[in-house]
Amino acid sequence: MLDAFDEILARARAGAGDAFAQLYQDLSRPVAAYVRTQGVAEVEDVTSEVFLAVFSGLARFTGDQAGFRSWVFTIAHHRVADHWRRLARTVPVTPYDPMDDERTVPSAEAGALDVLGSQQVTALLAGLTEEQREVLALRVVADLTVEQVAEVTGRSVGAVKALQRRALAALRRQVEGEAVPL
Amino acid sequence: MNPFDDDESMKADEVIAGRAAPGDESLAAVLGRLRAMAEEPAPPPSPALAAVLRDGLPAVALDLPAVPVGSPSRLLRGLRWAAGLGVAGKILLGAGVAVAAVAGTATLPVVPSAVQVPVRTVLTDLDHLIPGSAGGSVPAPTVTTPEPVDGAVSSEDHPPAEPDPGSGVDRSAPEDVAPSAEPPSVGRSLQPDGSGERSRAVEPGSPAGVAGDQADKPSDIPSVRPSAPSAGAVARPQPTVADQPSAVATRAADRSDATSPEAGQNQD
Repeated sequence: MLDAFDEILARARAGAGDAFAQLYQDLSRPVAAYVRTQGVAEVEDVTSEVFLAVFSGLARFTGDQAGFRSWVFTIAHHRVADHWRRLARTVPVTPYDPMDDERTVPSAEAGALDVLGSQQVTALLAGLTEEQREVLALRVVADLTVEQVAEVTGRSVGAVKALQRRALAALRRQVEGEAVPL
Repeated sequence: MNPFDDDESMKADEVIAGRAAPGDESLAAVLGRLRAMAEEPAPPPSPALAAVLRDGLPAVALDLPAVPVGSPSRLLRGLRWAAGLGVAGKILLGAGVAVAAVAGTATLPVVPSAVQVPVRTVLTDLDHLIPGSAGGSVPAPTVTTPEPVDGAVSSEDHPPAEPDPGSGVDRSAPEDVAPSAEPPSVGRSLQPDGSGERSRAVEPGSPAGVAGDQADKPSDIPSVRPSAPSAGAVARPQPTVADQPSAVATRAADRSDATSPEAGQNQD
């Protein structure tokens, strides 16, 4: 959270680069995490696209810091959807399989364990439906309220609550059935 | 939403907030790991984003989205204005556009005269039928094409480029008017001041006419000169045929008087 959000936003609207950097430092990590949980491989590219769209469209935004966070994740949501739509037109999409994941991790054991934990969480999220994964990531990673998630995804509050409940139930079944070591 | 659903939603909110109920420790651990992903370092920005973070954006680029979306363009405003017209206004507008389009096409130089003439005739008729279009939207015919109208209309609308009161050409006869902007050569040949190409209008059989024709052909001049000029003729300065065509005829008459008839016949 930024202490002087209104001032930073005003300077960002004036085109100040340092204000952009502060907004990016505040939200780049959750946005990148949200993009990663949606199964996007090009996290760097999509995250940069999100913030370029945010910075170039600041004139359209009105609201407080919570509203700004919700607006940023709305753009991220659309960018992820565009990414999958673009990918669906070019190559067939295959479900995530941890056995086929050949990505390596740094040599430090602690760091490796952390990354493996994130990958396993990502693998668990891949077992959810797209809507459930989206709602759960917005609720947990983006730290949005149910109402904000409803606004971002364009669904009703009741639909978001139902998706959240089903996502947790499916996740609980996976955890209890597979006994995933974290 | 029934009370059961509301209770389940409250439990889900508790789990998501990190306050796991007994028996949900594994699920809470997964959600905790998921939440920790938001604290992982962000990937490096792309070069374009890095440039924006370093240099900022110009105010013009930020103002571009502020342009009110849906502001009607000039074409859209024109269409809306046309849609708001009444039936009579739309008919008049359509007729005007059609006349302007046809007239504009007919004036193209690539259109052959066989097409231009009937189109111009129709436009002339429409000029009288459409109210308010007289002398306005329909372009006036030019002198480049023959116009099958009477002389009064022609003289009012299109005064001749070269006033020629003494030409003697009947302008009421369209076939006598050459289909070009250049005035007819007949008019020039009958100039009253006698300048220019007067010799072209003389009868071809007359001596002056012969001299005039030969003025255009200098190589034929010796054929009309006497083969053996007299002494008097040598003493006088010899004007050229082109300069004084009538003098040649006079000298020829003198020679015919001075020489024998045989010599005159030989010259012929």
